[in-house]
Amino acid sequence: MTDTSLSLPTTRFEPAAFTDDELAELNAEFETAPASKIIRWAADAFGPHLSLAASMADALLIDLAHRAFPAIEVVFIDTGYHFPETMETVERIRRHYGLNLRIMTVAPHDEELWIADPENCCSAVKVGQLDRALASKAAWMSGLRRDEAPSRANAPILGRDVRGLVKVNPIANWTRADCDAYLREHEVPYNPLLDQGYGSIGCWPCTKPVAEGEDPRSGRWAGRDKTECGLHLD
Amino acid sequence: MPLIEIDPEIARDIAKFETMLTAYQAGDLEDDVFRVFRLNNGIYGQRQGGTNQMVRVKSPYGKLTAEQLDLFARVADEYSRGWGHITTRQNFQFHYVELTRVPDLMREFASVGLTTREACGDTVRNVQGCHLAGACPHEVLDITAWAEAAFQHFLHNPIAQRLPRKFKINFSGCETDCGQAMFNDAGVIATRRTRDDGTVEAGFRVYVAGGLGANPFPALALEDFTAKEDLLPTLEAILRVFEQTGNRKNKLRARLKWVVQEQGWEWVQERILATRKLLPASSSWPGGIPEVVREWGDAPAGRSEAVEPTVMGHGTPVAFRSTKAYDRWEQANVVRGTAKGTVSAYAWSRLGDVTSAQFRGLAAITRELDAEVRITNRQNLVFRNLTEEQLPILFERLTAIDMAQPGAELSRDVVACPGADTCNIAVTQSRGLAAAIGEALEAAGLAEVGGVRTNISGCTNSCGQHHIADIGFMGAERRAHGRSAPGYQMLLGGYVGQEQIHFGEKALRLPAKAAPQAAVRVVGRFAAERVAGQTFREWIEASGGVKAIAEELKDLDVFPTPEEHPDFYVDYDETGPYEVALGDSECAV
Repeated sequence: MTDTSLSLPTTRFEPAAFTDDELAELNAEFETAPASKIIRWAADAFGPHLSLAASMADALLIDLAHRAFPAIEVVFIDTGYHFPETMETVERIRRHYGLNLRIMTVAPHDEELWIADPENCCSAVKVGQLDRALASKAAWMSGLRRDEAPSRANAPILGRDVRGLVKVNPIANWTRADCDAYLREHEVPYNPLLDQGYGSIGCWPCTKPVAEGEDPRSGRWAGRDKTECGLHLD
Repeated sequence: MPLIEIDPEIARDIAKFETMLTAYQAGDLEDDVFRVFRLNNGIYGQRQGGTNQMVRVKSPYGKLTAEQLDLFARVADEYSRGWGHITTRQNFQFHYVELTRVPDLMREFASVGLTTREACGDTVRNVQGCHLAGACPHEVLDITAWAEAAFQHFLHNPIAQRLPRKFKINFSGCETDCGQAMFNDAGVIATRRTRDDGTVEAGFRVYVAGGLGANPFPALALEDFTAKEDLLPTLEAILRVFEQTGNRKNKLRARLKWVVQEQGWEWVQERILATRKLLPASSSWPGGIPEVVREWGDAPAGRSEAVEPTVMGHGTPVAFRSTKAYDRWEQANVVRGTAKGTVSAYAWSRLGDVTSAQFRGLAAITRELDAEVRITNRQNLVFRNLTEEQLPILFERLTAIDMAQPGAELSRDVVACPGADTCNIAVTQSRGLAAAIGEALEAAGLAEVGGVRTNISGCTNSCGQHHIADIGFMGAERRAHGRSAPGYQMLLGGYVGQEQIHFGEKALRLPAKAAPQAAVRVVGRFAAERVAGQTFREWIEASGGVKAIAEELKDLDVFPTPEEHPDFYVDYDETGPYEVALGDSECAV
């Protein structure tokens, strides 16, 4: 052989490991930290083993994360039931940031699950896909906020999810007003449905606009007991 | 040089590559993270290690312009070592590019509308098309715009950024299948059906889950007929099913063909068809006929009334009626018979290498003759849209750059992967063997036998497509007299065409240094024994089958001692004793 000094990989990124106590301590510290600092911490600790799960209502968290770590993997779950406006927003946001976007697609079901079995439709079409997207990951981020709904009022900034992964909610303590200000200031792309009375956006069969003053998420599964799809349950 | 505006998305790809490269060089980015990122951007490592990179640039359906050829000339001189290499999937590869210069090189490619994005890695690779699409007397549809639509739809597509493994799409304009649809993840063949009212509709037959590699599988027909408006949703449905069901734990069993092996064809087929039903509602695909198809059209070139169309495809016989160089080139390399009377002619590339001088010459010819150029999957180039009067000029120009050998579909047209010359995981010097076979055939007066294809791969991965050639060689290590020696598995009777695929049958194993002699004997027997119109496979059949032919080659499977014949223990193009030196595969990481 001419030369056998083959290019072998030498180092692999090992994501940091944290005990629950360490997470709790950091969580307390992060209550008063800017979101950018929290994201920077997550990017440093978990590197390529960090994902950002986006609902694509807006690109606020994406905008923040992209500044800290342009290569961050953003995951969006295409349930097959999104509004056309949402799909257009996904493509607009992807192009705007040149995003490292991974769309998870859902296998077809024999029947319309949201009619036949609405309680389990979300887990069949969404939660399973998030599990798949997070396989081999160490941590993930979401744009979940406490003022979105009573079910989210106590959401921590940093915690551990049911999979044992570190879950980071960098803007958990932002208010709607904080978000609006950021979106305006940085001209962040958002879903046009937000201007049409939709406070929170999911699949079209289970998302309705909300009246002024109502909980923004009250249009999700309206008229039913359900308030969470299951992505954010501990 | 007329430059086009760089596509903003490609510009961002390059900027990101630069950012990541800077971070990698500063030690802020680990090797494994950077490697996956680099592969998805078409940049491979090389056997030589260090920061030598192989840069693969995609040429969808093989189309090239004069500007692109001129640029390749400059790239070969200024970034590489004076040549570029044609792949079997209509890409060009430039080797020995210094990593730090990759972003500049990407910008050069982008300035002529080319990208390296998703040329490697677990992505949708280059979209191939039959090289005469739009200029072929046999085609049902000109698949050019359809291949372009598929290329545009899947490049950067977020459902295809983290696939279980690579995904290959090939198009052919008719069942002759010069585009080799039958061994890819999605192979599209243009076809017709007669509607109930008696009218004829052109559309496609889509073949799924084929593949070569160490375990070749033929592609299977998804349905009898796929209407034009359903084609892109069908391709996306196949890709989605692969994304959802491909094995993510074992890359060696991750391609779509393995899903079929494990789940059964009906399961896969049903899932694809069910997925397609949901697509209009959920994809970024607007539906209907793709814009580029509406713009460019897909009408076939049509067939001349006056001229008998040249027969195309695997096994095509070539009849020489003259000994003059021009006549022989014209008889072997020219395709006639389109409705408007234009012709096509091949430029032959030895071992798929094109030097910077040849690139410049090809660009000049393209301009002078106002021709179109496409890359063929047998590592040659074809000029299309020529007049009869231009043929002697083309021959003269090609002679000047040493690309005028009668080559297409003749025995000298040996296809080989880069092999242990530059590839991390090759076992043998496939290019060296290809050159040796070419020389041995020339010496034996057998270089211009028609209807016999030879393909060589330097390992089991089949980049040289050895399974589908009449004569195939696959590199393998041999042991003899206590030493390692380069060897090959010889296969006979592979075939792809007419919506059929046959994988070559194992004949025998040979020392690398005896392989040219074996090729010469087989080609010689075929040339002497074939009866008029007989294909290579038919000849094998008539000769008692592969085993019987192998039996008569048995005497070549002998290793002399290292003292008698030291060169049996040294591979082609090498000076030192043979040893298998493998790097980490970047193909399946």
